[in-house]
Amino acid sequence: MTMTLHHSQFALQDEAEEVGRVRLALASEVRRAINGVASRAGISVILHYDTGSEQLSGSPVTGESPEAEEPGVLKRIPAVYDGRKLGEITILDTPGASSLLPAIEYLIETAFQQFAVSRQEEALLEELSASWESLEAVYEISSDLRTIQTPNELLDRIVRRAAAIDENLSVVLWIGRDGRLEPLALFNATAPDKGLEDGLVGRSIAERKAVVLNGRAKIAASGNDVELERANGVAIAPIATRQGLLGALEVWKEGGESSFDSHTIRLIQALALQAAMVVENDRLHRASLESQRLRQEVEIGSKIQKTLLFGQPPHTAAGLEIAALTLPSQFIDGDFYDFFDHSAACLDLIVGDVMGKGIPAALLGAATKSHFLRSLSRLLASTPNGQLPPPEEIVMIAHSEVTGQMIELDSFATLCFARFDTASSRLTFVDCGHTPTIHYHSRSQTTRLLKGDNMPLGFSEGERYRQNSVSFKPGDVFLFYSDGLTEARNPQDEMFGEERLATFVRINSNLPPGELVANIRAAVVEFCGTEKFADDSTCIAVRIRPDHFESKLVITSELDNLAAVREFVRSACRDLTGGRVDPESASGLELAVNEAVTNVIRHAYSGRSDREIEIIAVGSSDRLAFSLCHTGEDFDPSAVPEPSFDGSREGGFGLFIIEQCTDEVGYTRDEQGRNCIRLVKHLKTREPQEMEFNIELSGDVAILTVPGDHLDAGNAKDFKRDVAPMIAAYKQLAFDMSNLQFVDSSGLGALLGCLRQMNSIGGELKLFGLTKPVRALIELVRMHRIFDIYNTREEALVAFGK
Amino acid sequence: MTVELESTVRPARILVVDDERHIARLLEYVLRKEGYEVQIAHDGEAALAAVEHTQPDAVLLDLVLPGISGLEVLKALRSDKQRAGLTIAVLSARSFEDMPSELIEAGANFHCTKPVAPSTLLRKLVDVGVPPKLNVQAQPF
Repeated sequence: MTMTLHHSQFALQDEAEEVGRVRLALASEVRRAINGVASRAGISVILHYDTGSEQLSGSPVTGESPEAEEPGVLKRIPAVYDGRKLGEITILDTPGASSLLPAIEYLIETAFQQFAVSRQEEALLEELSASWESLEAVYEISSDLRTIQTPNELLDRIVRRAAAIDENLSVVLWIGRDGRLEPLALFNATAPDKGLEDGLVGRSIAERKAVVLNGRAKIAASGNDVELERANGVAIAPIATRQGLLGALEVWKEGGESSFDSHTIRLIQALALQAAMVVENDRLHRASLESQRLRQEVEIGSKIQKTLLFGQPPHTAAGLEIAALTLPSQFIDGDFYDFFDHSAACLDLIVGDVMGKGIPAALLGAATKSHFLRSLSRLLASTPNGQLPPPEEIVMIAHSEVTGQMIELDSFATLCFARFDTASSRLTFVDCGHTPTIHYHSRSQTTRLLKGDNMPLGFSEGERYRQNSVSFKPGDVFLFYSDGLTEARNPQDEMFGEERLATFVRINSNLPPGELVANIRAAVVEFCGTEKFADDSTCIAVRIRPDHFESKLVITSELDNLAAVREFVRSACRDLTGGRVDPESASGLELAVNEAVTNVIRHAYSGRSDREIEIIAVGSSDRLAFSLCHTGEDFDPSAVPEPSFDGSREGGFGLFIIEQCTDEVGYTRDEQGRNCIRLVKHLKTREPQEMEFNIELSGDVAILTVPGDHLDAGNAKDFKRDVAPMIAAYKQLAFDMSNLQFVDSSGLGALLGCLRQMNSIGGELKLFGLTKPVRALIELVRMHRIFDIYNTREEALVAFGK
Repeated sequence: MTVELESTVRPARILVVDDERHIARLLEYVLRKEGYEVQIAHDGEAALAAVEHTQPDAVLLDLVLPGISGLEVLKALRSDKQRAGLTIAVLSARSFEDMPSELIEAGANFHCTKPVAPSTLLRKLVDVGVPPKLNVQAQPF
């Protein structure tokens, strides 16, 4: 009879011990089975095995009476179990034995079967018990997974749990990396790295089988693992995951007796599995963190660019049209720019480039910008009457704040700080090692490069910064750019270059800057043959508005501010149209705007004096428009009755006046939702033709009636040019000035020029019929002593030849 | 005259109470292997009778039983002052994790959730004073 049980799934240790245990169990099973029958009959049944024997029933037949014959063997039954010979059961031939033999045999067979069943049950219970052992450990570790954050803490917990199996245990968790095994977690042990194939651990991993050895001798015989020098028991569970993670959980005991069994190994296997999970999860987590970090850096970088590095060109800037272009590179760069809109006539801009790449450069760029803003604010606060500090001062202060930091960070920034002053038509700039600015002159249709020779910021402390300045005319274009643009390379490794850029500006100078900049972008992309650039390319195009001039005034809704409003209208008439508003119209406009503002304060704002009114004046080629913007009540002009001119009513003239003094009145709403009253005066367009003069002869004197109502910067040159032949022709010339309502310094200059010309040929020039404002101007500049001025034509004519 | 008191060693007796037969068998196996003497009861009534009859040193009591519940058995056992020295351990499924305080108040010596690692259970028994072999002082008459 043989009984089988499933093979043990690991290399266990003690064959002999195991066999002994099984034999004992079998013996007691058989003993119990045959007890009743055999003992009563005194039958002797013995289990013989190679190292001894076991009396199963009956008493040992000893030599009580030496003469008694030793009984023979009635029957031998081999006891084999699980393929192993446990021994042999012999039934002795004692009196009465043979008759009971069948019964005894039957009982022994039953005993064998029973034994097999209970062995199986035991094995299963052993399994179950081992499972419970490891299951509890798994539950513990799992709940730890919820609370413990770091992988190292978890691994430490696992290793401690393994050590709790018995006393005096040492535990090492080995994890493979680059062909070696590293001890990732240890308890009560120190161990150096070992090779992936070294020793018992290596064997366990290679064979993917657990190893259990009890006994010093066996361990010594198995190999020479350093850590097991003093161990007298070891259990190793290998780790080999589908993702290729290799390792092992090794537990050994020093001192005392080691009794690692299936329970132990089952538990250690469960813990090893947990450890493998922890390590793998950690590795995956790190990898995903890294790629997340990279993605974040790119995202952060482009956000920094959009929000901190690049400013928004202002919509309505001081008579300028502005467009900006950025072609970002694949890696964040240090380009930055921003605008500071001071007033209707003044705009500052800053364009710069911090050395370096990535987020550090971007942050430095943003910091530099903010330092400029701070210096500007500080200087503004400290100068009187809100006078603007000069650019070189702003740059000096910003430099002093920023350079220390830049030196520490081993970085520097090139930049150009430029101020556009449309009141004086001048650009003042501080160039600090930046690319030269391209200046296209609309009159001569040529480009020039503007350069300064200051050092970049961050080179050395205590640098002096100097500004340069140039004048500009309507239609001129300025292009600021970073070297990423000019140094962009094509596949043949040629650079885009300054010349190409300047040419481009010249060719596209008639386009609004937005289009110019878009075309530059297209040109660079075409040149490089790619949209991916190594460096950020930035450029800002500024065009001086050819014919559009604008000015703003913001007041609180107090009637006391009306004087300022009238002054604003007067200067707008003067500055924004090149003097094409005649004084009468200017007075009319002054009146109209005054009335409109009064209406807004009294009716739209119901007399409240804490609200705001913004007045925008725009002068273009054919009109001068005033927009009054307020957030008060809507105004319905049709609800206002006509005024009565018979004096019967005090009020009601306002609207009438407004309509009379303007060519258009409109009521609209602007993009901010404010109510706007628009008053427009049409202007005569500038006539570029030659002036026609009305010449009248009176005797030898020619009387030239100066045409038009103004002689100013707009036409003074033309006048001088056109009148010169008259002067040459008539030695005695009188100018009839009665048409002129307005003369400015240029007009004066032209008149002086005429006088000089006349004097040089020995002729006479006299002026008569000056209107009050013209006379006032001439007296102001004390020219009334130089010119011969008469009230009437008769008086002037009489004066000739005297 | 002096009476010498002999101290002997005897195996500790444990009563396992669980209506699930294989669980009871497993616990019996584990305890027997360690050297305890084990008895099994499958419900509350049988448990109380067995305590009366065999006077075990410890009772492993499952919480969920047919008929009277494990908690009621616990209370019944504790109400008997004569059995004050009896060690009672309660086993319950994992979902009863938050029961311990209630059980301790009712008089349990310790509580384990199933599956309990055999090593844990054996250790707790030793800690509470019921090792596999007990030293017993022979009582003089």
